[in-house]
Amino acid sequence: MQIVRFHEYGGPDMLRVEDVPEPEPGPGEIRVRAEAIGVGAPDILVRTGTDVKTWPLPMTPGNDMAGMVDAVGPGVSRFREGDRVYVTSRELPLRGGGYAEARVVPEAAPFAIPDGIAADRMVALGNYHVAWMLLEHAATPQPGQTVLVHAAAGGIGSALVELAGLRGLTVIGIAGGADKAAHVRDLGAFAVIDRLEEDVAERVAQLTEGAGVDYVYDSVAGPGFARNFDMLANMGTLVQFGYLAGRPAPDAYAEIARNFPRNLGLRIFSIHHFDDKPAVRRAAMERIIDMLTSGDIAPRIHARMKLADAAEANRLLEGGSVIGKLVLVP
Amino acid sequence: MKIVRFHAHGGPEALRIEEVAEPQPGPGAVRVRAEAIGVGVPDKLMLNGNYPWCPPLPVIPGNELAGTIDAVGDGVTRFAVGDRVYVNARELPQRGGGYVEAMCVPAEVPFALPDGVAAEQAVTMGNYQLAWLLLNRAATPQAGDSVLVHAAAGGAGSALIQLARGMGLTAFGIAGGPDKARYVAELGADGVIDRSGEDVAARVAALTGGTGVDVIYDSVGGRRFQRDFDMLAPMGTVVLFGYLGGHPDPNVYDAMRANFGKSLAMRLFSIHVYDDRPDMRRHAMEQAIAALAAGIAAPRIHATMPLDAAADAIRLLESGTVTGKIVLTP
Repeated sequence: MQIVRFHEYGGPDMLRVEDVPEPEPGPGEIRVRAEAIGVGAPDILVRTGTDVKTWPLPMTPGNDMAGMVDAVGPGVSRFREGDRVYVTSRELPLRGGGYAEARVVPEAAPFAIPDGIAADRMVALGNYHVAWMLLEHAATPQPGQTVLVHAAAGGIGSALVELAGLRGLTVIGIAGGADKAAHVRDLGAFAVIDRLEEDVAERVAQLTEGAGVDYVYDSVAGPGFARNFDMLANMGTLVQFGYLAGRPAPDAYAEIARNFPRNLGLRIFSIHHFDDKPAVRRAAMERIIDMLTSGDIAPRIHARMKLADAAEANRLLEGGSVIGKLVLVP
Repeated sequence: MKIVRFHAHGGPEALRIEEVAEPQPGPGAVRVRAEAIGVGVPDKLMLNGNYPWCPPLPVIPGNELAGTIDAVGDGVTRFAVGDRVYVNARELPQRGGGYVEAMCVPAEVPFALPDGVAAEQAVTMGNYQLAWLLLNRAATPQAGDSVLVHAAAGGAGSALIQLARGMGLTAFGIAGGPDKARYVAELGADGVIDRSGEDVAARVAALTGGTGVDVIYDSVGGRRFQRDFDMLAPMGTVVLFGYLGGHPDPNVYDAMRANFGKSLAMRLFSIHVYDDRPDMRRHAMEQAIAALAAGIAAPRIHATMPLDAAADAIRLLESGTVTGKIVLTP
């Protein structure tokens, strides 16, 4: 069967399409035949060797796969052949493994796909899962409060805008360019700031009548990180969970102290926090799946590409013009 | 009537006992005859010239006074002569004013004292008000969570221990020396660490089975501040609300990230964030007074001294050996 993997760190060219023997499920395991595989920012981090954790090489990227169970090992009771399931690598000891025609996982790992739900929608749920944790655990914004979301047209950003709106929060999204801004508006944001055209801090002040926002969700960081503190309301909290623009200057305390006595907070969040909390992790994903089934959330698909074109898909994602999920199909 | 004030910043010797005319309450004001006056760290900071919110010279220190209303101005309906009240300068346009035999304040300022509450206990309520805000606004630990309190034998620290216990939290306190450690144990702490003889981080690990604590309340700061992050449980928060040991190294970001995956947070807190929010401030104070009436807040009085001895009271406060409130009586 076909898999896509890299043997050393580097650009998209490092991704090789290879043929390997089809894996057979052992005791307690099932084999999932892929219908859709999600492409996400973590795929790039692991390939470039810049992820927060290091993984053994060669590595098959891809944290989201949805498809059909086509073989079960001895002793399996939870699933049987023909069941449709979603596998997120957050349920597995190692991340990645998704860029493959099929994969074998412990029967406890997958989530059942409700009837009538397309596989390509399922592989977008990893983003909603992070967004859920950001709104439920990293901080707990209450209805009526205001949140500012950086990279709001991105995978997690879009999910944050949707989920925050459902919670009754006032959402201000930041996007780069008119197309992305339009997408964020479509997601139901109260307001969108096009950072290529507008001064973000000035617009935030305007939109909040000078008060600032209660929460900032920042997956961008980099040189603009310190400005977040100026956009927070009294008692506001900055939740930082990514580094699209690189590491920020480390003197966060100085920035918080500069704003004394506005009582600002900072949390640095990672989804790896839940690596040893399967009950909380799985309950959150079940809620997300319910929301997909009920139509409360509507993940957008940017494009479907062939698994063999994974390198091209990675280039496309790195290009920064993707709006919605990139999906690979075998 | 007698007042104590200073005309130039300095040490305790700068305090002068003076005789002034008894103030008369104007329209909408009440006069409170002091039964007890609280001595606190801000008094000393004002005197030394290290208090950003110090009124113009000459200054009467003292932010807390409790007593009986003995005169009311025209149009006052909220209180009558004979009512027992507590005045906290956080409710006045300027801090200070408490080292007096009597003071006039607008009728909306005082808090009514429940029956059976002694005046000397009431003048400790500023610390409990701060502690309530720290436990319910700066961070929001839930019943069953654990908190670690630095300087737990201090005014705010001891209030934190008692209110935390009243909320069903597990409260650990850090104290310097066996006398203070004993005092913190008497306050009801679930565990006491004597930093003069024990390794704080090792003891926290032992007390929490290696997990760490959910919230740390730190009024010490200084060079050792970064170590707080190593003592936090996953998703834990450090609240820094004082600088007894100076400001921390501004580079807290790396210390937080060193515990990556634990998704830690910090917040700076000052009660001055509520200077323009009397609703928040007064609610917190009413909660503190309710805790006093319920016996959850059980303030200890370290010493009761005559108002004339205010300079000695400040000297005693500076000695660092105080466990409980120093109270002046007219």
